[in-house]
Amino acid sequence: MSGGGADEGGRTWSRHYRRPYTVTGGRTRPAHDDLELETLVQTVTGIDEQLAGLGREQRSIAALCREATSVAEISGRLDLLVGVTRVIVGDMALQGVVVLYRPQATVADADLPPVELLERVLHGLKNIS
Amino acid sequence: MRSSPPAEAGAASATQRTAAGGRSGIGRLVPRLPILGDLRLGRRLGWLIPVLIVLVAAIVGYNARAIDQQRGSALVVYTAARQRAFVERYTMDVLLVVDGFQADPEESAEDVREPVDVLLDGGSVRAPQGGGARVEIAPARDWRVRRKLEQDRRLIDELIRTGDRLVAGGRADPQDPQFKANVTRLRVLSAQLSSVSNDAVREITQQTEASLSRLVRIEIALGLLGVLAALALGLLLRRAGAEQAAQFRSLVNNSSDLITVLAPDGTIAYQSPSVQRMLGRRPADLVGTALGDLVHPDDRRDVSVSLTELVEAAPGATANFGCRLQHNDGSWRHVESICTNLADDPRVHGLVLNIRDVTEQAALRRSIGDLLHNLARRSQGLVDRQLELIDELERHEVDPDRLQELFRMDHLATRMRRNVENLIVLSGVDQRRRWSESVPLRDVVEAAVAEVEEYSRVQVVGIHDLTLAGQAASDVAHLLAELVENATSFSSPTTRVEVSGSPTGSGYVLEIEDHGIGMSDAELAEANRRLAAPLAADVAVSRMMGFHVVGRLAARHGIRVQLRPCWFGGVAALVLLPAVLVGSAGEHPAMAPPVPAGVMVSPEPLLLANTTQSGWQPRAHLPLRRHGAPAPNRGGDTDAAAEAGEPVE
Repeated sequence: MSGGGADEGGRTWSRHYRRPYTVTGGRTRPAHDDLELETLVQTVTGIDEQLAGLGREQRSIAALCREATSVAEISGRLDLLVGVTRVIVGDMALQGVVVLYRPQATVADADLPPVELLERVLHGLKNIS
Repeated sequence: MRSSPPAEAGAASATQRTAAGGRSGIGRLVPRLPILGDLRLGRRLGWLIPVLIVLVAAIVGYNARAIDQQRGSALVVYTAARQRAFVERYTMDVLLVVDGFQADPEESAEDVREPVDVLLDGGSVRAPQGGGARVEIAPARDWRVRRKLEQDRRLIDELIRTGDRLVAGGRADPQDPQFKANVTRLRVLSAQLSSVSNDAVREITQQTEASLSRLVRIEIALGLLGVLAALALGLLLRRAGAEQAAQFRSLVNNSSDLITVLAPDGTIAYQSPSVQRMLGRRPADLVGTALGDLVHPDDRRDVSVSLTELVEAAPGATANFGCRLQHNDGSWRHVESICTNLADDPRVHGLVLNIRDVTEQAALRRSIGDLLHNLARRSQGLVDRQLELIDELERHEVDPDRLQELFRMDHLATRMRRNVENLIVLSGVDQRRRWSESVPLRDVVEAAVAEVEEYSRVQVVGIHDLTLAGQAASDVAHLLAELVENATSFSSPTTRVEVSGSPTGSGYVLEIEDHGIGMSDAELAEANRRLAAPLAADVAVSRMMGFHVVGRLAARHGIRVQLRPCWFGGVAALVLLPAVLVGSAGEHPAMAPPVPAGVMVSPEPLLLANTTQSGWQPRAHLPLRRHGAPAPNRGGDTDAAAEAGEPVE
């Protein structure tokens, strides 16, 4: 979503008039359930010749993710909404254009302290300040 | 009755003369009015026509009678004159017999009697031209002639008695006193008869001359009367024609409308005097100048297109157009013109324009436009702020359900912005140019899709990597949105609407193709006719917003729009963006797509030559097109299933 002339508000025409919902046809729910912000995305090697059949955002993501990139980073670098990025990346994963890596958790889920404890700690920290 | 055709012909030619007498173009228009059909005129001339007919009949009758009488008189004179010769021959015959020569006084006596009997009692005589033919002679009527003729007859009887006596006496002695007396008597009678015959001839000749001269006098009098009546008829016709022409001219002169006759070359052939009031110019100054010199430079092209089309149209066709004309003081008057092609009418030989001053209406429209513009501008500011807020919310939203709600709000606000900006377009107020730098064409198309209710059915394919001039970007987006909206509304909700593009020699063509049941040839022709027709803004604007918006937007940027049938049954809307608006990209290499296979430069012109004016007739106004209810706005979730794997691009 680059391009467009600079104007009085510093926003480009394209940012003003292009709307994010058209990118996914209004969809907000990714095809993959486990797509988190930190999920790493990498384009499948040798997929370049298929790019012609892809849409504009898909091509940009495929080009960006030649090295593994997180969903959050894709969103920031391409100026796409996080929700939209997740839908597109989910579709690409289904098509086999990209593969997804869930970052290895350093601590097992079971070892984490309960949420109530963490909330109490947070509360206490707020009281100190 | 032979006289009536000339009378009518005279009346007709008088009409034409009167009518053709006008020097101006309007004078030449006058014969179009049914002058002789006018009741008033018919009443006034009614009595004169029978009088003329009677006069001419009398002249002809008298003439025939005079000719007849003249011929009869000539015959009578001839017959009377012959009498003398017969008498002399009879006398000679008698004397020859008496002298012992061979002669036949009996036969001569018959010849002597015949003319006078015929002249007195009527009968037939040998025609003077000979050949054995006989002609009838009527008995003489004049008493003086009859007296002479009766005297003649008595003398003839006397002569023949004397002759008989001489002949009965046989060859006699010339010295016989009786014989001598009879011969002398015969000679005296013969001389007397000659004299009386002469008198009769003179009498007959005099009578004939008198009656002929009487006839000639009557004829001359009748002829004079006829000429006078014809003159009176001509004068009346002329005056009536002039009255009608004056009436018509006063209508033309006192009307606030202008009547202008344009010669085929575009110069003014006639200008009604009301131009003095409307434009402060004298008609005489305008005649011979080009109409185009008066027209506002911005309107010249439209006016010239309208007039050119009209000239090429069938005779009698009409066209309407609006434009601005320059007043003598330099100001502009808004006018509306109804134009009729009378090029084939030999009395006009040009285009007749009826021009009405609508400056006040235009001012009113402008003030309404200003009001509309101000209100719309306020709404636009609010909607813009709302969209900015939605942008912010969407940026931080990770929950799919809440993002879904935000998208719906976003979509509604985007459509609201389109409506508001369309209102600004319709207000006619030139908007401040907000965007100066060029915009990727693809973004413009996607922005258009975002403004459509059923955006998820729209597929954008193969738009080339070009840019569009920034000042046209919003207008083109709204124009496309109207066309796409129309395509989605009138095709089945399960079908797609495709937007594609291809370069042409004169610019870039965007094609919006639906898979509906299409339009009949007649409907398409009607829609394109309306597309080509100039727009007349009126109260129907709100109802036919799409029509006006597309028309205005296209006209503002020189864009041409046309509808075409698709081979598979749908309809394609073609939008030709002129080359001046389109630039090559290249500054966005990251986004540069390869040109999809199958998209190539079309060598043929995509728009027909007859698409001269951009305009738009929404198919919503063509009822046959309504084959089903427009698709409802479908929820994002159902779309999600339908769209899976087919990203909109």
